[in-house]
Amino acid sequence: MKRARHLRGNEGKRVHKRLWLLRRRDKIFRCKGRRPFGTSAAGLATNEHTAASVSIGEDRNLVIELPEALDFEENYEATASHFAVLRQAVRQRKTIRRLSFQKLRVISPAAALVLASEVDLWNFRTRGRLVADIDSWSEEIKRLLCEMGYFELLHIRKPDIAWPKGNIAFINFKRGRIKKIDPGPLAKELRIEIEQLVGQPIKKQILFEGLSEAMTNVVQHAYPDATNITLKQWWMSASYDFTSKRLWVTFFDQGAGIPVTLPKAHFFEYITGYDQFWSDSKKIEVAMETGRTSSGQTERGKGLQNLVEFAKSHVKGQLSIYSLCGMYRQNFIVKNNEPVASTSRVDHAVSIGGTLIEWSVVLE
Amino acid sequence: MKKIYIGKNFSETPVGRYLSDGPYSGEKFREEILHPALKENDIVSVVIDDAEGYGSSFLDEAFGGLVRKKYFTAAELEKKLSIECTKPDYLFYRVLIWKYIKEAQPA
Repeated sequence: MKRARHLRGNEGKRVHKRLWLLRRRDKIFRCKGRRPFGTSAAGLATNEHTAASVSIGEDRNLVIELPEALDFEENYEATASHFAVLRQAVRQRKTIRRLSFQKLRVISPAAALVLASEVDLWNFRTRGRLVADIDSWSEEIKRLLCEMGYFELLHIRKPDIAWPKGNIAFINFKRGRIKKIDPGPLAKELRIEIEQLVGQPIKKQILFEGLSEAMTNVVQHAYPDATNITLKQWWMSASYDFTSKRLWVTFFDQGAGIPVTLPKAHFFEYITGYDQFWSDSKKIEVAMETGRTSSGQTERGKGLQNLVEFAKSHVKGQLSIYSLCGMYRQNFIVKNNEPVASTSRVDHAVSIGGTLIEWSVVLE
Repeated sequence: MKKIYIGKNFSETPVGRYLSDGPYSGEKFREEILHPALKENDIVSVVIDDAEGYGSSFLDEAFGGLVRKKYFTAAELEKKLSIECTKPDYLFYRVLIWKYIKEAQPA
């Protein structure tokens, strides 16, 4: 802090911004001054109500046991707590002996994507030395993760089992590293792959717009203080239910989060600092409604509003944005040829560890 | 009159606002194709329906940026620029382009 105070000009601003981001991130991890967190025996922050199952083996290494259900709708706190513990252990370079899937019976596509991203980072830290103990996994989890491309993403050996075709089809998890890939052709490639998955043309320009804007937002805002290119990543998945004709497209990054990158937009906010009291879901709502983002420039920030278009352009559509501890959702139903919108937002005790964008639309 | 096909003359997959966002950003299109064409020709027609799609950051920077950079005023662009589109799915991009041009404030 001392050094930063003595710095002047752009260098000082840069150091102050970095310190502010670090302090903000720490505050988020402690969940906004509440005290739900204790410290587990493993030295990792855990929530006393939804404590993740962490134990220390005889060799002093960590064993993390995943719960029975991982999803962000019914079991958000338990799901996010386990991911938070895994993320923290990987970032603190603790040795994790095992991530147990033994109890796991249900996993939603969005939770599977976040889990895959956390394990992907862990795999990167261990230089690809992870091995899946699939004999202990339930048949359903084995099948789901096989179909979602979990093994291909992590470059680990896939179980050699031919599954009967189910009602839900998936495209394999995708990983992108910003600055390395031109988002345009990749968004087109993903759009084509999603069309092949559902077996019918979808509103191509709107899906392309949503995917490309999600990637551009990661480039522009998600990782303001990351220096290592391998940490500036995003993950994507899509699935289609042939019975309900519902398509899900999910996009996740492990960046700073919309609530952190949202700047003060008005003079009044600088004076009062009242935005400090906004919850994370409120900040996502403000970013969506006013197009305000980290750039602070009035012409920017239109990208988040772009995300809505894909959900809005279908008979039934939903856009959910989870960022840090907040969730903001817009639902659209077409009535008399006009989309009618409704919104909701929820705040949780545990951060999702980045930003998860999920589109869910019913195809005609 | 000059005709610019965004898909054919620039990129089928234009994405992003600034050069730092990708190789086919709105800033690149404005600086390398649109602004020179508008300087050299009385009327420029931009055909928009041969690209995959557009994000609003691309459109805002490419077209609204002409006003922000003080290259032209919105009134001048109304006389000089026409946006062509034949596919019904792309008509709303034309509406967006004119909205961004009218909303842009010279920096």
